[in-house]
Amino acid sequence: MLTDAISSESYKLIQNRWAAFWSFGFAPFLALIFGLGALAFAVSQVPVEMRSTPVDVSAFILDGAKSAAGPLTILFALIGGALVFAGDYRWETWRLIAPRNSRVNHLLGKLIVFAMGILLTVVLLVLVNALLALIAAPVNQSSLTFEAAGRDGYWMALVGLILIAWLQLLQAGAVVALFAVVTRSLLGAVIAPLVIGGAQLFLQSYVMSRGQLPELHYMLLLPGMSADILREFMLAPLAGGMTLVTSELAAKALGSVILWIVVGYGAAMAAFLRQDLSKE
Amino acid sequence: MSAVLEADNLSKSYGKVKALDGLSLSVPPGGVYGVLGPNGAGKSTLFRIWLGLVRPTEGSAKVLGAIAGRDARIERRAGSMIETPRFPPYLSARQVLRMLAKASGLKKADYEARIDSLLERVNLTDAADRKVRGFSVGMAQRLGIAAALITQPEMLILDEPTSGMDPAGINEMRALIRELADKDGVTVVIASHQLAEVQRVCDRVAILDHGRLVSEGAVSELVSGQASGLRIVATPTAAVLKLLGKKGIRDGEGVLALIERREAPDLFRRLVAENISITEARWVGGDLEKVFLQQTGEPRAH
Repeated sequence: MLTDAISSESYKLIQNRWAAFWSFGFAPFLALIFGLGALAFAVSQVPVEMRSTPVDVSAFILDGAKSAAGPLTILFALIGGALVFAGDYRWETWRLIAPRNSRVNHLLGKLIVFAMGILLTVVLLVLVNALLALIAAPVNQSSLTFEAAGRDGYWMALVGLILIAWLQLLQAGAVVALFAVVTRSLLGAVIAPLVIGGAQLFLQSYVMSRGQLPELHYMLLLPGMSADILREFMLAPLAGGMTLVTSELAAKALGSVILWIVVGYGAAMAAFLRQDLSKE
Repeated sequence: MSAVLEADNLSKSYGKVKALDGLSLSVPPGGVYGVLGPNGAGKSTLFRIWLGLVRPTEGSAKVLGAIAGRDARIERRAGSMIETPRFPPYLSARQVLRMLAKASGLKKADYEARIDSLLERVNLTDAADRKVRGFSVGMAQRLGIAAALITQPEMLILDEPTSGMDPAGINEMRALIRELADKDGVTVVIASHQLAEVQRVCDRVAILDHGRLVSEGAVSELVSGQASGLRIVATPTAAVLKLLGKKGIRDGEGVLALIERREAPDLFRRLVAENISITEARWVGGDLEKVFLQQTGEPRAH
């Protein structure tokens, strides 16, 4: 029964091709365009002998995973989330779809489709960086290397960074899901998380400016900062263990991100189960 | 035989407004069952509760013996169309049906052929691959019927199935509903304001008013038990209503006098004596509209 919800939800999303592209494909597309632009600028401004240092593909890939949940990616993921979670309110189609499955399955189906969409975004962003490295090497008349991949902890860090980016986007989606159900509106599902995200960025810049490790309550309030802490923890082995982030702090950071996901989707589910669909 | 739809002491409140007030009703299997009532009588709320879209405040509702909204496998045995259906506008008619077939757990081998035959049945074959954003209300209604039939349900719940349709479309819909009941053996439950239409297509009806059941039975029984009424167009209308008292109901620009034929001569004498100018008088009766008016006190606009 859950598979039916996933099947119909993914079909709806795939048929809405442009919206699906904007939501999950535009951030990687933009990264590719910016990357090619930066390369073209370098070619036009920097002499070839200064550009011809070896290009480490594995380092490019790691950079892609590290920056995969940037503000732009989050913004487009919010749009994708709103499309998935608020679409049936927007088009007034709940009355058509709701009787065909349980509400738990309907919302879980949306969650799984959204989770797959953002995983695709993250993977594409990593692949775009690999592609840029492959393009940069011949353009810069330099050799390709995989040096970073040979270092201890590289693969663990890569998988960890991809997972952290995915969790961070999933966390943004949890806020979207909650506001989609509560406001029953596509706009409400985007605007409210944007306002919350803006306030979090402001608070995060204050917390970071203090030059000390954040307390637990700040980590709970700021899942984005918690994700940054986790990234630093995952990259520490590659930096020779030079980090202030302890395992305990990393565990708290992971707990903060997961708590946002569980509470966000849990509250959305609780509200949806009690909601009258008398008028979507 | 056990009821396909049941409501037991069902109540639903929206804030201070009571949409349903202790309603009890059983819909038997087979044929076409009509649910009538003026605006706000609770018809749509009742249908939404049966479909699990709305939770009752009190009481219980059952679909095919199971508590409404609890078991999707049961709900899938009942197709539905609530008011003018809406669809994701970027999908074509065929894609809408494909999406709903997937949502209903049908296998591709089963639904592809069924989609073609359903589109043909509702006269949408030519528009099968057009985006639904360009569909007229009538086309959307017909696609809604096809969507309701995609799981080959044993029961159809249709709320205002002819709303917004032109006369030809209404005729087609009426024929389709009767065909589904008579040839396919589907129990069809409809809510409608079109009383003449309900009388033509339904075998049994329930009349709701203010969230309560006020009358229920076979259409023929309800209609045969009624005395004729006299529809009078006269000026001033208010004077006619005053003269008739509780036996008079405003009926458009005229007045419906709920009287027996033998009372008519006396009524005319009194109208003349009151200097009321009569421009038209004709007997109307033996129809569902009169039953409806008597039970709900609503003018014929409904």
